[in-house]
Amino acid sequence: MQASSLLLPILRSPFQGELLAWLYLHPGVEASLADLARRFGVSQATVSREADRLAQAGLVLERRLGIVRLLRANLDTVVTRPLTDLLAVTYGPMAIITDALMPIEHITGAYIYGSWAARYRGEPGPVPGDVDVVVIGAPDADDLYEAAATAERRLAREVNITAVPESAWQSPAGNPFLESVRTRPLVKLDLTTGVI
Amino acid sequence: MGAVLRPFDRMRRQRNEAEYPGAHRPELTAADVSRDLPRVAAIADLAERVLDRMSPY
Repeated sequence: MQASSLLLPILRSPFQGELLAWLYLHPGVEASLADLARRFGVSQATVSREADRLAQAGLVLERRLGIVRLLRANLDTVVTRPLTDLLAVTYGPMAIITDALMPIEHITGAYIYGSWAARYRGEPGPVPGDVDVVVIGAPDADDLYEAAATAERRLAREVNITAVPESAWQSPAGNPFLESVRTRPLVKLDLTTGVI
Repeated sequence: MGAVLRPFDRMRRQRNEAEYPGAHRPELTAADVSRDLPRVAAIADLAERVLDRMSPY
């Protein structure tokens, strides 16, 4: 695990960025610790520790439903707006692009690649100017283009989404684009569990 | 009319990108072009029909 966040180096850890971004970019939506742990591939104890810290700081509100602990963004503080903006341009791509791709049919997988993925995976460099996404399957090209436009509006940065057939993704040899993408850092988007 | 014109901007961008091939974007394939042919035909058809009704400016 990275010691600190390279996308937004004022944060304690990349997970803190993911958690805050997910909550703040889905204002009003509650998520359980178990859901968040599954989504970001961390233990519930990690989510719980982070939730304690953020709740104490007043950035996150919590509610208990029996033994389930539900978290949501606190939308009523002076930092709400600027923090949301900051998260949208740093950690937002995972949350927002996943949302935009979810309703599209014939997609079997999706990854962020390029400079955003490199920063996310801990490769130092400048703040990414755009977000490159490769989608596996045979979705409608116009649906994808609209999803990219929606994500661009929400992220306030360029989003490029490219579709490749499953067969090409499995055997990238001879395809310079896929050969390069597959050897560089990738961030998988989870399109199966849904966001809300 | 909106549905017919929907692919236009995407295809315009793709055409621009095709002029500058590089490893950061995949190349357009014959299948991509074939898939878009009916949409291109629909846009051309629409343009033909509205042309007469448009003022010169």
